[in-house]
Amino acid sequence: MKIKIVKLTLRSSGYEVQDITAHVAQLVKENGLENGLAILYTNERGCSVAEIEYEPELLADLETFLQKVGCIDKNICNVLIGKNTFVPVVHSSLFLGQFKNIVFVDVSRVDGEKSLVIVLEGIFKNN
Amino acid sequence: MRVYSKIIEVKTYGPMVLHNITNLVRKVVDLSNVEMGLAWLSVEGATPALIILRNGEEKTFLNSLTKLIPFTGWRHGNAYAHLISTILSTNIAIPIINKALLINSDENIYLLETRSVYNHTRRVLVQIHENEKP
Repeated sequence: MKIKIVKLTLRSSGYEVQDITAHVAQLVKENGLENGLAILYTNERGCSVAEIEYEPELLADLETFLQKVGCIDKNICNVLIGKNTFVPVVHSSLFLGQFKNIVFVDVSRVDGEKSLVIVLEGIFKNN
Repeated sequence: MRVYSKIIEVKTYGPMVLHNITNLVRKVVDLSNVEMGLAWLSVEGATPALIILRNGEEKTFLNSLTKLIPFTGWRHGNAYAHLISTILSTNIAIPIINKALLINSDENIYLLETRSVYNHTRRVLVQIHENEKP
């Protein structure tokens, strides 16, 4: 089995959602993954990786939902949203559809550099 | 490593209707001829979801979900559909053991159509991974 592991570092205010779709697509191309998976994981405290349309009003709705559930103040939203996700790669492209984006959610209220690990697994060019 | 990919097209209607795709996924597993591996399922789009449910739990599940994430009261037009999709996920991974999906006999794989649509085409990718045969 062929696996490549790449680390992505982001600058975060500590309370934001960042669209990382283009970063992941770029890493898939750079590493020559043709068919397989991009598995994303973060071990940063208070941070999650999810899939959602990156649209300001929808992100505000997500914030409202998380506030209503009560996980933001308790810093446990990553349990609900998840610390990982996977995106299939078909012919070197991410299988997402028109409106779905990969996002990094940080509600830790701690600013600074945040990292996530992207595991690329499958059939690579020049395998 | 071997990767076998197939896209299943599912005609859906909604809102909040569960479409049983278990047999469609099983057919792909059969075609792949994989004995031991992993099936990664992913549905395109930002509003559907993929779930595994036990028979008879469908109604209870949908009622609980719409209580947690109601249809109205949001800024974005169909926010409820997006939020459900994000929270439940558009992906599932299911192991394949002895050429069969590892789900219980009283469970099914469902595509949840959250939106108010009719005869809508959803694309589900079934990607199967296995080690190279010696």
